[in-house]
Amino acid sequence: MTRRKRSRIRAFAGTPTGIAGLVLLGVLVVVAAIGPSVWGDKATATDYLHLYSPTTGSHFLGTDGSGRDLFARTLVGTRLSLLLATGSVAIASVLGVLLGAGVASVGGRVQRIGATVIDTWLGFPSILLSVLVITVLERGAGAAMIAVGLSFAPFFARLTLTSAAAVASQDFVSAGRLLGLSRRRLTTRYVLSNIIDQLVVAIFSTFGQCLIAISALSFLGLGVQPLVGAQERFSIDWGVLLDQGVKNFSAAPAGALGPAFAIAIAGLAFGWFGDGLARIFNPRLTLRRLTPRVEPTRQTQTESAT
Amino acid sequence: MTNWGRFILRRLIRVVVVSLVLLTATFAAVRLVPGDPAQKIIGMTTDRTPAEQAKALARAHRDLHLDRPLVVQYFENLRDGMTFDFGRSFQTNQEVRSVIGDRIGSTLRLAAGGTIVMLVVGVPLGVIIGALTNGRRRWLETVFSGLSGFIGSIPPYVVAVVGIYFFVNMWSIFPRIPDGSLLDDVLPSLVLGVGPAFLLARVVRIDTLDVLNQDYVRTARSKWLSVRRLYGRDVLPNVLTPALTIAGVLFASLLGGAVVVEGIFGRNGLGSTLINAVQIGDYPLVSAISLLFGFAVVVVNTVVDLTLAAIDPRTMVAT
Amino acid sequence: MTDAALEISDLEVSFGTGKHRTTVVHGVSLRVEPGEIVGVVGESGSGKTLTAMAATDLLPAGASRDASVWRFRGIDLLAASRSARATAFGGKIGVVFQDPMSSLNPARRVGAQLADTARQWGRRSRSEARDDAIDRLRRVRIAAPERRVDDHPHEFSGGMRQRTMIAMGLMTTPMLIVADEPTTALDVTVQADVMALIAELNQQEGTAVLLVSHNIALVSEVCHRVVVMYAGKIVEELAADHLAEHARHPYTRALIGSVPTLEADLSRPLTAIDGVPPDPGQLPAGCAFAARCPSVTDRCLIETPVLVNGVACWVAT
Repeated sequence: MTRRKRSRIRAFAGTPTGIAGLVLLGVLVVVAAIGPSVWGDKATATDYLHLYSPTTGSHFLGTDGSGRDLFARTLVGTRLSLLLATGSVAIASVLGVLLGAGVASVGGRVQRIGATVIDTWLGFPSILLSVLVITVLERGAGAAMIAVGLSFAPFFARLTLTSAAAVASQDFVSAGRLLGLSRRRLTTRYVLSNIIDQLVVAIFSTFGQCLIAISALSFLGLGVQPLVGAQERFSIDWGVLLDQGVKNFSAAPAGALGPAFAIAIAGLAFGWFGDGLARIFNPRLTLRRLTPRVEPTRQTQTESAT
Repeated sequence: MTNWGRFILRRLIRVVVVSLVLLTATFAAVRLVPGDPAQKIIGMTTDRTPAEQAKALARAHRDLHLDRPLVVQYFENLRDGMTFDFGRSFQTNQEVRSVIGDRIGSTLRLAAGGTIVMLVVGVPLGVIIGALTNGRRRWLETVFSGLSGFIGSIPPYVVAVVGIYFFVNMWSIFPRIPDGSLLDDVLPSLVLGVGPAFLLARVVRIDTLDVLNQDYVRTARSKWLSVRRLYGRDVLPNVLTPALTIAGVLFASLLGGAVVVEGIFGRNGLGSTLINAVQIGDYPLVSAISLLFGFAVVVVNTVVDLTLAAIDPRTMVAT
Repeated sequence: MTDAALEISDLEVSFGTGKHRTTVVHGVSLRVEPGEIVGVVGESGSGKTLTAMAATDLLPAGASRDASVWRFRGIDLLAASRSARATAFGGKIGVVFQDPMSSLNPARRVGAQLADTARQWGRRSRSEARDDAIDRLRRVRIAAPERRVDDHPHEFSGGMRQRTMIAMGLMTTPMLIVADEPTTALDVTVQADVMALIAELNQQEGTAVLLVSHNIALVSEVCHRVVVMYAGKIVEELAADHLAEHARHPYTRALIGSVPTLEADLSRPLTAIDGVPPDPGQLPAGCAFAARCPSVTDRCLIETPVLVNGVACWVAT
């Protein structure tokens, strides 16, 4: 293991929230992997003797209007929620980086127009953008994934563009240009190798937001369309469950609270993990944590200038 | 021309450019829909004779300008957008304009309420925590950033569900059925505003710390002004500049939240109308409402820029 | 004995608490008589600014002060509450800071910033305060003050801003003006202007001045008395006209030696002081200046010299 790697792991270990995020993510991934096969039967088995049952020993969150176990359903929903979020982050990052690099490599007026489009795109409420995309595509899980991917792509495009501008202003790039390297080659060679760290952090901080956005779409009936019967366990995500729960909110509030907490916890886990990663890759933050907090800031400012 | 004149002109040009981008995007979105959008009308409105059916189809084509070349379609669409004439809803045959007129009030109240909660909670909270953590109380800093990060990352629809559970079902603080009073807007506004408020407070805290360590605050301290004068005249205006910029960005996500949350609260606003329109493919409504939301974001950001310039004229030169 | 304008004894300034505590000003005593101009001279990090800020209650967040005596125009400040200190200082002190670019609030009109003190401590109405502001701006020789009073600071030049800072101190009738490196950030041509203004105030109004500067030539010109600081301590204190001939501390003499004068032989390089001062938070044993002192003795490395008869040096006494 290189020294750099080891110091990074130590920096991550020094962030309690980062560790908590990692642990939570681990649990989520395990639940997603085994969910449908372990709790699938319980989640889909109807029990007309126990409709809208409150919390009991056998039903942790009670049952819904068909007597299905709400806790099992929430656990089963983990897989599709995580899968769709992963898909949309993949779409957003690949598309965004390509777009940002493309705009960065053209230069001049076209670059300015490209930057304006990216910024407008970025400023537009992402849920509205997703809704527009779903209007074009047919409603469904795939459409929702693409829609959320598209609405988060400008985030990665902006990141790439900004880093490209920062790198382009450095001396070695000017030197490269003097040597006759093309702008495109400079972009790919220097920019992409320089933003990997930031990209990793961005992917994880976006993950939670994508999951939240996908769940919102499913909740609104624009995303995942649940199937019935044997396939149901593979076709429900937290958004769908939340929708079903809200419709029966007075009878069985746990039906909505379960998936709501699941979404919040997943969003939080990704956020915390992303923060931990950011500390690793941003030594300045880590340094601040390790050095004593109280520094004679005013003194350095006024005295060093004299 | 004065600085202000030039500045306002530049901002207006930007509004026009961004509106064009939005119009083009919605045009492209609707045109990308596979199949003939006009056919959708036939599916929606039933009980017509074949002759009426053909007439309706022709009218739909005309309304959407589908009978013209694509370039002409685009410019007709631009004109419709500028005059805000989107024809009629496929589903109800009502004029889109009047549908929006009916529903916009509810959404405006919700968005305004959420924005007020965001500003009224976020700015003072950030300033107070900032003042309290200036060079001391490390624990408060840790607690606050953990808490605000937690609250800020919970999506509004989750807050809504939890909020209804506690405030309506358990404690009955708010009525279960909307009674038409202003009270109906309170819980939705709180739900929508609380997350952005804490995100705003995070930023405001850091800006407050920054401002408190500026030389001009030391100057103000050397004048021994009352705390009210010090914070009101010297600290707050300088904190507001970055705070408003962030508030403008947060407004976009707040508006997005309103779209999702309206249904949960049973509000018949633009958001729930939009979702319903997407589900049945009512394109005139979809494009009109998305445009309106996009336009609202642009207008709010322009208002933010103008306010910033009024507070601190240097921002006029910088941008 | 009449009350001093400002008096502080055995001042210690520290940052942090517990084991992270670092003390950077060590047992400094300072007294400014009414109508007197006192200069505090030293290199960067000598604690001169912190001393002045501690004496005027303007320490930055995170810094703490400890003293045995602290009085402003005879009012005891040691036990005073914040509001009592405000009543003591408010309207009776003017402070001019080093950087005129950042010392004025960029978001407020110049006139409003001037009016603050008059409104809070001079009990003037809004329009009276504005008239006062125009009057004081004219007094510090800002052209067309009726118009400039509504400008924002970024529309002023550096010299104008520094004069505005002085005008701010003049809104009420201050007993003391504290000027922390008032000319350092200014063009040479403007420097003399600002200093002339401060000296003029002292002569016409009898305002006491505490002038903090690294520039010993400037200090010797306008001050009555000079305090030399090194690594958080006072090393010498003497009348300004004794500076050239009677300075005893090797550090003071080295400082004077590094000033170019008209009589100096220009073919010879100025005597610069070799080396860097120690961190005032981690002073070595003995005299802090020993490592750089040309006349260092064994005693200087072991025993810390104390201030006796205006000088803290084993060799000079």
